[in-house]
Parts: sequence; C-alpha cells; structure tokens
Amino acid sequence: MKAPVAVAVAISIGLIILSGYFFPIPVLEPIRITLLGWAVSLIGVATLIGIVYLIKNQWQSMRSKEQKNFYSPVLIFAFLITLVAGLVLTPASSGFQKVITSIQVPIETSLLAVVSVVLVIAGFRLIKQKKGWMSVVFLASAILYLLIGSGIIFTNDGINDGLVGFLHRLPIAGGRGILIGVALGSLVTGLKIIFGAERPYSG
Amino acid sequence: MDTIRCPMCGKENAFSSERCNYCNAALKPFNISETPSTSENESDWLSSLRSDSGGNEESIPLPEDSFSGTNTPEEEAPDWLLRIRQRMEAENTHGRERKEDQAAQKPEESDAIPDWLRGLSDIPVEEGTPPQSEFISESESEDETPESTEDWLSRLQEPAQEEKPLAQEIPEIAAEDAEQEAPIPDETEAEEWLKNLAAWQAPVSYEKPEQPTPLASEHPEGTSEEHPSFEIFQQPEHIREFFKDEQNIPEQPEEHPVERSEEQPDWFKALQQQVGSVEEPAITPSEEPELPSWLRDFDRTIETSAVSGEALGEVSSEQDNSLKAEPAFLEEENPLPFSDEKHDEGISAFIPENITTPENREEKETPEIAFLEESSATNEIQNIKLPEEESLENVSGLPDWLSSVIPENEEQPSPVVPPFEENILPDWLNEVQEPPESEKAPFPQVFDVYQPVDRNPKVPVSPFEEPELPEWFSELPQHTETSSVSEVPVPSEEIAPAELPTWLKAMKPEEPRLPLSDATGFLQQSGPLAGLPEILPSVEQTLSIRKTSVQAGKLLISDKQQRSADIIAALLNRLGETTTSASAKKKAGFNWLRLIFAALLILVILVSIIMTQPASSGFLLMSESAEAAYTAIDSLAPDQPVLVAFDFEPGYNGELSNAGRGIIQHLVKKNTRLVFVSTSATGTVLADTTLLDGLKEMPEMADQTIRDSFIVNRTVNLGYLAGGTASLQEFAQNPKLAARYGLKAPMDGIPTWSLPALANIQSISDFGMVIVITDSSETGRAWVEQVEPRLGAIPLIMASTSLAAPMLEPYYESAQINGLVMGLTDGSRYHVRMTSSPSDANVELALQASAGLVAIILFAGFMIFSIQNLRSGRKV
Repeated sequence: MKAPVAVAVAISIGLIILSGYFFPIPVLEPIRITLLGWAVSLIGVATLIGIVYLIKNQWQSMRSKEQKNFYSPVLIFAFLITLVAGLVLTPASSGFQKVITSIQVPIETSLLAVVSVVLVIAGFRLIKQKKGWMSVVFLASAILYLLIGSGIIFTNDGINDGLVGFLHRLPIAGGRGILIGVALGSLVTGLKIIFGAERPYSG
Repeated sequence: MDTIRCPMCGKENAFSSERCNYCNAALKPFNISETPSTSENESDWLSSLRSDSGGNEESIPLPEDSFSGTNTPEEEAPDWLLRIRQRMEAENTHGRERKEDQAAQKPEESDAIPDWLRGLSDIPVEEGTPPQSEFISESESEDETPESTEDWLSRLQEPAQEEKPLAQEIPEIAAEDAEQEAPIPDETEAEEWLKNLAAWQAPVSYEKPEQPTPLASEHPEGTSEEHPSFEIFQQPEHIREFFKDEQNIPEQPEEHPVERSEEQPDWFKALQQQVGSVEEPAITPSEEPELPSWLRDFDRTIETSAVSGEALGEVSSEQDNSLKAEPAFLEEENPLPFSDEKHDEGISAFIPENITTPENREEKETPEIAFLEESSATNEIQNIKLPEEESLENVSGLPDWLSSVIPENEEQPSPVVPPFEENILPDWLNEVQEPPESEKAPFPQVFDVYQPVDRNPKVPVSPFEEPELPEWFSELPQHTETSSVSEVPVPSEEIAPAELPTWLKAMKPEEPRLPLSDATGFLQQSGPLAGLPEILPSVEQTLSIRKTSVQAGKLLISDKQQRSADIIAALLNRLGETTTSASAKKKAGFNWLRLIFAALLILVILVSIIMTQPASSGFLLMSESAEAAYTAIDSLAPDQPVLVAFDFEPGYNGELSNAGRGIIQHLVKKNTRLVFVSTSATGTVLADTTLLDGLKEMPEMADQTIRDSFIVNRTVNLGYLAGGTASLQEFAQNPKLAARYGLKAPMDGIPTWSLPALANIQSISDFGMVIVITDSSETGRAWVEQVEPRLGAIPLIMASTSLAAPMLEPYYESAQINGLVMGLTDGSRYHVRMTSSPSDANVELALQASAGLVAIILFAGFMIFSIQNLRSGRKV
C-alpha cells in the first residue's frame, strides 16, 4: 500500500475512534464499532499467520542440513496433535482441557521455578559480577521486599504503618510514575500516528 | 536454311521471322539502310554508307554456332559483337562462294575502297603462304571456328554485294570496301576514313604485362581456357600462333584460309607481302603505300614514343620506321596532339598490351598488312609480352576490326597506311584544326603514381596554365605574400602609453606563466605529426606531467578509539579461525550452587507444605486492597451476573489459583451468575478448571450433579477474545458482538447469549461486577483503560500476582479499581476465608520460607563477595 494512502487511512480511522471516545455522536458509534470489528478480525488473522510462520520455520529447520534441530519435529508433531484434538474435541471438552492443565501448566510452572532459581544465583553473584552501589541497593531492596511480600514482617495487626508502610508503598509510587510515563507515551504515540508523524504500518 | 538460330538464346526460329519467338531478339542483323536516321545530326558519312552499301535486306543466315569452342553466352556479348559473330559464321559457309563473288565484284564497289586500304594489298606475300586476310579468321575451314573480322575488310575489297550485310551493319567498317587500290575521288570523306581505319592498326605484339590489361576486363566473356575469346580468333593465324607460343595456349582452330581474289586491292597485297617476308626491310616512308597523313603522323608518334617496359615493351627500330609511315593528313593538317616523345608514350599506352608483334610470330603463312608491321608502334609493341596466365581468351585489346589487321610477321612491320590520303580529310576532321604549337597546351606528362612528386609543395602552383592571368583575376583584390603581420597598424609614436596607477597595478592578477617552449622552429620528432614544424611539442610535455602530490592528512584519534579499533581488528582477524584442540579447551565445571540452591528451596517448600498447622488468626488478614475486593464481592446481590476474566498464563496458575478459587467460591456463595471470558487462549481453559476446582472445595457443591447443574445454569464461558486490547474495547462496547459464541457452543449448539447465565445482559453495564484475574500489569491496565470507563458504578476487582501488583495498586489508589488481591498471600488468605482450608496456610508458609531463604542467599552472597572484593582490593 502506498504511503499516502496508508497514512490517510490511519489518520482517518484514528480520528474516528478518538472522536467516538470524546464525542458521543450517534453517527460515529456504528462506524467505530465496525472498524473495531475489522481490527479484531485482522489481529486474529495475524495470530494465525504467526502460528503458520512458526510452524514453517520449524519445518525448514527440520529439513535443513546445516542447522538441524531435533526439537523441531517434536514441536511440529505436538502442534499437529493439539490442532487435531482441538478441532475434534473442542476446547470445552474436559479431555482437551487436560492438555492444558496437565501439560502446559506444569511446563510453564517448572520454567518459572527454574527462572527463580537462576535469579537467586544471579542475585547471589551480583556483587561479584558487578560492583557498585546500585548492585548493593538492588540486593537490599530485593531482600527487603522479599521479606515484606512473603509476610514475614507482617504482624498480626496487619501491615504496619510507618516504615514498613512506607516501604510497602514505595513500589507503588514507583509504579505510579511508571504508569504515568507509559500513559503519556501512549498518548503521544497515538497523536503521532494520527498526525502522520509516525508510520509503523509503512514497513 | 529453313530455320534461323537466335543469336541471343540460341533457339531455332523460322527463317522468315525477324524476331525470336522465345526471347524476342532480332534474328536478322540490323540493316542500316532500313533504319531511319534517329537524329538530324547524323553524320553524312553514315548516311552515305548506308546508301552506298545498298539495301541488302537479305540477312545473313546465322550459323548454328557462331564460333567454335566459344562458350561465351551470346546474351552477354554486345549486339555489334553478336552481329559480327553471326556474320563470321555465315561467312564460313558462304566464304568460298563469297570470295568467288568477290572476284566478280562490281567495279563500283571496288572503287569504294580507299587508296590506303588498297595499298595494303601490295604487301608482298611469301609463296606457299595461304592468302590470308587479316579480317578473315583462320578458322574458316572449320564450321565451328569463328571467323575473324577480316572478312569485313575483305568484303571491302570485294564489290558491295548483297550477301555482305556485315558492312552495312557495322558502321565503322561499313565504309571500307575491298577496293583500296585506287583512290576514289568520288567517295565521300567519311567513307574514306572509315575504310582506312584498318590501315593504322598496329599489328605488333606487346610484351606480356605482369598485370592484366584494362582492356582485358572489357571482355570478360573470353576468359575460359577452353574457349578462346572472340578477339583471338578474329586475329589472323600468325597472331594466334603468337599467342599460342607465348602462353602455351592450346591449338586454336585454324583460321579460314584467306581466299585471295584475283583482284585484291593493293593494300591488301601489300599486307600479304609484308607478312610473307621475314626480313623485309623497313618500309621507308617513300616506299610504303600511300597512307593518309593522319595515320602517318600517328605512326610517327608511336615510333618516337618511349614505351615503358612494363606496359608496352621495347620497340624495335624497324617498327619505329614503320610507324613513321603515318597518314599524311595526320602530319600536315591534323598533326597529332602528341608532339613530344612523351606524348607518344601516351598513345602507346592506349595500345593494348596483348597485341602480338611481328617478331613473335612464326612463319608467316598469311600476308600481313605492311603498315602495321612497319610501324614503329609495332616495334614498340613487339616486345610486349603477353601475360603468362592469360590465355587467348583473356587477350583483349583492339577492336576486332583492328586486331585483325595485325600482321604476322612482326619482324617486318608493314608500313602504316594512313586511312586517309594526304590532304584528303573529311569535313568534320578539317574543322578540327590543331592549334599551333605555340598555343598548344603542354601535354600533361605521364603521371607516375609511384614516383614522388618532386615539386616543392610550398611553391605555389598557379591554377592557370597560361602565364597571363585572366582579366577577371586581375580585378580581384591581390593578396601579396609580403602582407602578414606587418600589416598590423603600428601605433604612432605620438600617443604615449598610459601608465596604470599603483592601486590598479596591485589589483592586477598575476599572469600565469606559461611553460617556456619555443615552438618556432621546433619539429615534431615522433608521433603522427613527425616532421611538421610549428607544432606544440607533445612528447616532451606529456613526459613532463607529474603526478599530483597527495598530502596525506594525519587522522587524530584518541587512545580509547585506538583501543576500540584494535579490538575490532583483533575480532576481525579471528574470524574464520578454528577452535583449538580439546586439550586446550577447558572443561566447564559443574555448577554446584545451582544444585544447592535448588535443593534448599525445594526442601523448604516441602517442609512447609508437609508441616500442617492451623492458620492463625492473623493469617486471615489480607491487604487493604484485598479486603476491599472481598468487601465488594460480599456486597453483591444475588443472581447478579459477574464477569470474571481469567487473563493469566498457565505458569502463574499456582499463584493465582488460590485467589481465583477464593473469588469464585465467594461468588458462588453469593448466588451470582458467573460469566467467564479471557483474552488469552489458555485463560478459558483455566477458567473452567478453576471453577471446577473451586466448586469441588465447597461442601455444598460436593455433589457433581449439583456442580454440573450450577455450571450449566449459573455459569457461561464466553471463550477467547482475539485482538488483545482492541477486543476489550469491542467487548466493552458490545459484548454480544465481541463474544458471539461461547466456549461450549460448538458442542451443544445452544446460542450462548440465550443461556440463563446471560439473561438480560445487553451491554457491559448490565453486569454486577467485573473481576479480572491477571498475571501482568499490562493486561490489568488494558482492562482499566478500555472497560472501566464503560462500567460506571460497577465495581472492578482485580486479582494479580505479586509481580503485577505494584503496577496495579495505583489504580486501586486512584479508585479505578475497587479491590486488588495481590499475589499469593492475599490470594491464599482470601481462599482460606472461603474454605478454611489449612493447605493455604501451608502454601503461605512455604512462600514465606522460600522467600526468606532467597533473602538469606542473597544476603549471604552479598556478604561473601563484598568481603572478597574488599580483600582483593586491599591486596591490590
């Protein structure tokens, strides 16, 4: 799609959606709903394309002589099995749901456990790898919030106000700042797209 | 004959037909008397010839073959040549009869023979030599042999007969009759010179040139070795024998013997006598027959001309003398334009090279024309050698009528008999008078291309031959050589040159100094312009060109940049290098820390889980946000639809399952309708799993039937919403459009929005509460940003992991979220409130224990390595 046409389409759609937020114009409501429906459909199709691309890459790596991957055929096989089972049994089937609960949940949980162990070791070696006050502060904060978050510091009276409360609310402040920054960034990015200054769709 | 052969295509036609039926060529020779004059300016001689020759309309029957052995296509030969051939052939068959008739030629026709031609007949002929006319081919005895053009001359001797259309056809020879003995005063001037034309033929042979003659190219038809050319066969026998001997030419058919008539003209006799005698003395001009003056002059020029050895060869003195016998008219009235010896060369140059000379001929069997043998031109031409490669067919030269006049006996050239008598010239020739010698323009010298021009090119050559310039030239402005640069006006001395002010002099830019090179007098030594003066020297200047000096600038770089550059260079050099052998390769050690730490963590967790202890009262305390969530759910009215979104990954199921189960159990206890939805593909499955697990823990839902009934009647799973944030916006706007089909719709076929759990729900605001269980802050933020504006007063509750809780707590602080269940702690405490299960306390204990362990590990590591660093720092 040529640049001028893509820009025009992006700007027009952005303005329509944005105006629907601020101005409850009855004419814009159905247009906005329609456009959102198209966007959702396109995102769904993009998801399917991503799945197909993933399978294609695995197939090519399986067939290539130079970079043969042993797990590629396993992945493709599992994918095909899951696909067939989902089409046949449907996701509502208890049997198909066991694929999720019995395979995927344990695998991902195990991965998270491994990640936690790795993080512990990395924290353990942090001072050794990277010297400096930031490393000390990071370790100190990690230890503190591990204790606070685990509830060790909790008292029977609840979360103590004061230092603990301050320390408990300190991440919240940081988070708020981050959220504000994210919100502002999102706003500016949206305005750039509406104004045509930024064209992520041009490739 | 009944049939006549076409001279063009060779096919037979009826004798009476005039044109060929196949090619439409004229079958009968052209009759001059029949043809009307085409132009008014036709010379009188031609008309007179036509009238005198009579209206011989009888066409000579064409012989079957024009010439024996000739393979020349008749289509290629010119018409006049064809006619000659035809006549020759006809003469073969009627030769003898014709000769007999010739003897009885009319005196009128014999009177038409000019004197010079008659004189040729006085040439002595050796006995035994068959009489031969130069114009009669030697091949007359054979039917297929060609007949030379001598017949036409012999016919001139004979009285003009009706059987001689040859004379009528060929204008050049038509006027020449056999009668040549006595002058015919009544004969017109045109007829006379025509008749005498043959007399000035040079019957000499030339040296064989190295290159083929230009005349030879004019007769390409005669190139085959097997078939001699027409010209050769036209020549008398002595000529052909010359060619045969010189070039190893195969034997030619014999010429037809010349039938001597009793009344041969004198000129003819003279020719014969000349041919017959071998050592016939040169005929002096006084002894020679009466030649026209013009021919005598011609002979003289040929005699005196110095013939180049390549072209014409040497000329014997005898031939020179013979050539002196030139027509008188040529001497006196119409002198030849070539008065110098060099001019004679030019004439001799026109003489074909392949003409035989009397010297080269063998025994003279036939008489020769005396004037031809005695001519100096013949002497000159005598030594001209014929080209070795050329055969008789290649020999070309004089026209047939002329070549046949060449006598055999080259040693005794016959005197040149001028075609015209002295002082008897045709009118047209009298008009052309040679200008006096003083007025004559110098004949251009023979230009030899091979000799350099010795004329100084700088010497101006006047384009005018005459020393006197024409009048118009004098009117032109004269340009003298002296006018040159000196014509530039010299400023007078009165005006003094102005002096520039100093400031102007300072402004004057420096003139570029040109290289000092004296071009004047400089001669180029090499190159294409070598030898030319006043040219800029090229070689020297090109060699003096130097390469421009390049000043390399020093690049300033810092030490850090230099180190970086060195590193990059080292990396590039290592590219492609293979790793060292295994011996040099260090074996990576087992990472015991990972194992130890993993083991410790597992141990702590297991111990915590195994240890069962009742939850303390403080264990039921949750965070403030969790309490708010609990309160909000607890305030729900019965039978209100609650939207519960399970947007977390299966990996976080362990942390959020307790929170999920607790919330669901709380909602079930409130008798609300549960509507599950997810923006994650696995969330819908997790929702069903969490629901089922939560119901199982409830004592009132211990029965599966009840659970199933509850699930069917009080719960609905809307499935997966694709599109991420966009799908939330769509769902918030129109839930029915965003989630048309539930998770179980394909199985039971029941429309999702007709289920009891979704009764009276048209929009998102129809729900009593929206609960989002998520593992990431982005998902929670999306729900807050997209859905919360549409909820209005409807509370939004979130249950998140400890990872996302800090990012979602501001929303709680800002009242955008009505409750927030954070992490495993709040979730497990929430769950304990619902079920009072001791396992949740164990989970929290395990969490606390592992967290403490990790804290200890981190602290230990911090301490260990800090001390180590301190020690290493001190040592350094």
